[in-house]
Amino acid sequence: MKEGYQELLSSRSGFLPKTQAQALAALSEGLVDEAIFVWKAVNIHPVFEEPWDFNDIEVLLSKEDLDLGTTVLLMTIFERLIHDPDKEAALFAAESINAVERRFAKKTARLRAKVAASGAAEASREAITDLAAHLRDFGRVFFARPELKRFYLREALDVIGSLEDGAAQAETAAAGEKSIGAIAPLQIEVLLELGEHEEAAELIAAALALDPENPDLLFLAARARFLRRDWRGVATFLEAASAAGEDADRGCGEFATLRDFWTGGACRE
Amino acid sequence: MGQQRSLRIGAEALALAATPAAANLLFPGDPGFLALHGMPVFLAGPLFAGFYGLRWGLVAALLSALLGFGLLPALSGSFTPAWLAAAAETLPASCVLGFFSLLGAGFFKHRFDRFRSLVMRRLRRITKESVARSREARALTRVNRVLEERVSGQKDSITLLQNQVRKLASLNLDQALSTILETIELFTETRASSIWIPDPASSLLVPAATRGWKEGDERETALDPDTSIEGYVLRNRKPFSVRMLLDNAEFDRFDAARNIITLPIIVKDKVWGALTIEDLPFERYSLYSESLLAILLSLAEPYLRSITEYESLHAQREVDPDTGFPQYPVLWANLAKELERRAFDPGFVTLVVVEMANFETALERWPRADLKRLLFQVKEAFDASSNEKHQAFHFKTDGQFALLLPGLDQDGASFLCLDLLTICAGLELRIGGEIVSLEIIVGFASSRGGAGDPDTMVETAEHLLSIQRL
Repeated sequence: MKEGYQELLSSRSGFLPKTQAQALAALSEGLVDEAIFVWKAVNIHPVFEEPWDFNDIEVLLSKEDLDLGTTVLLMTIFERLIHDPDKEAALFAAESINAVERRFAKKTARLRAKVAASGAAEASREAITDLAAHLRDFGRVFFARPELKRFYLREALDVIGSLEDGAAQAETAAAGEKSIGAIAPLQIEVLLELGEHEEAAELIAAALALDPENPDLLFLAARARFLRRDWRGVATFLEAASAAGEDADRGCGEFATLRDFWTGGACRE
Repeated sequence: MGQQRSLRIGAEALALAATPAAANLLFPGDPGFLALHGMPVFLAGPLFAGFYGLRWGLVAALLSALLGFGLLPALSGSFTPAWLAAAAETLPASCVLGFFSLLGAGFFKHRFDRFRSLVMRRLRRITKESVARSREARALTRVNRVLEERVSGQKDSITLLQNQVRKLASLNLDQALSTILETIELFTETRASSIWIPDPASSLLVPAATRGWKEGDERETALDPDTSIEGYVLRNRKPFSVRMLLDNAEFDRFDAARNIITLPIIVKDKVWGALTIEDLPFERYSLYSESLLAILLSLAEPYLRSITEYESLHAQREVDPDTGFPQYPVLWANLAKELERRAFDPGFVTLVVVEMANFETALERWPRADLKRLLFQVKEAFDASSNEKHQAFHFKTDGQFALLLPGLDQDGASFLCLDLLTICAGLELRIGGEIVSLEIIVGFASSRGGAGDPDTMVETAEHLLSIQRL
């Protein structure tokens, strides 16, 4: 592959795309050759590499609808950069953290408005679930700042609490459709992330009493046991989740794989 | 639907056919428009064929002829032999013309319909293709973006692994161990991990490196090799994973509350230490993570081998050739490490510096090496008296040595110094049969938790010594 000037000279328009997405757009407009798109496509490198490539980080950060994993990765980079002796780099990191926070705060405000506007009980429950899930993600993004993380996770719990008591909600849903709905697992997840294992265990027990064969709930119960270091409990719940998963025709066998790992005997040598 | 359409067209045909007949009512003197060769009547057929095709054109023509040349003359009473003779004379030519016009209009209607349906079919196909292409383009753009983000957002890329492995080649053990733990964190999302090595002085296992230990958390900083999983792993050279607890009573006597995965670190075919994963997300506790840890440790092995070889060479150089005790830099490093450990394991660290105040004077009569060895006999006498071996190091000058005493507070240190001075007072140490008089002074410094730093402690002990020199 030709690079630099040669490549520029060989391109039809003289336009040299910076990102793969730009290359694809330029290719579809006939501005560049396929070779340039291929070159850009095979020359992406992970942003999590030192020395940091600020351009790549900026391009990634500029995308509005980043998934949680990528946002957390960017925050990991910024948390490292903020201690950089180079003031420019530290400033860049601080501004980027602000940008991420602003973006999340904006979405929070939007979701709060949606909750306020949602009238019917079903619409309101959906809006509240969305808001609580977003606040949980907000907390996860600030993994390196425990106070902020706790604050947003608490906010998520408050939002769930505003709907009604989680267990009661689970009961209502279970009575209606033999399912615990989405809010109870979310509440359990948030409690586990906050380290409130006792409360999470109570909620799991309440939800399981209503829907004892829900594989997702059984999986959450196994996770809660793992956090409490009750290894035998983990295996028991994974067995149950695996059996329930098969009953529920969840063909992917994710629970079965985990169960086999836990009950598979000796460690890899 | 088809029947309705036929009825509608039939009605239209009837209306059109009736129009010339109705118009003829306005010209009662010319029934059947014979003066115009019946053209208005014949016009209905081609006209209708132009809109609805040949068949409907024929129907309209027949109806029009029936109404225009039959019904109307009959109703108006003009249907006479004279009218018939006139019609026979004037109508044939226009009838033929009308018939051919009807055929022509039908043909053109047919051709137009075919052309239109062809164009419509092509348009539909193009529209369908265009929708499919734009859907495909949107999907490709999405896939492209996902791929780009996946590569950009990769945290466990091979290039990152290479960069991390490159950092190991530093010949700095602390840095290498911390890089190993950092790499493990990056690749397995481990939240807390540690590396344990045997401590020859205490026969316990001590952490050589830690990650994810939060200051203020109470953690064990010395493990009994007989009751800890790390000890089991070191002795048996076998990995441990919590799931082994489920079907193995072998581990019942061990304290496994801290360990999720513990792997032996093999260096030069010997177990050098143990890596313990203390906290990791539930989803990450898998066969994949176990394999990954084993891979990372085997990648680190050649670097750890070079580092340990270098460290042992270095340690030899850092030992005093006359006494065999470690030099001051080793004391400083050990003190720093102890203080670091105390951040997680609250307790005291005490530094005691023993100085022979008349060392310089004694040098005039005895060789330096003999005097240095003599000084360390004080330490041996102290060990014998307290039935305990203490960690001893050379201090800054040849006339000084230092003891590093973990777990001793300020008061304990004062009493220990008094004991030491008492022992020195009763000692009769000789060089070549000649008694050497000892003028011993002692300085000490104690630090609670990880609060102090090595330099401050050294300064405090030296300050006490300087006061006694006066």
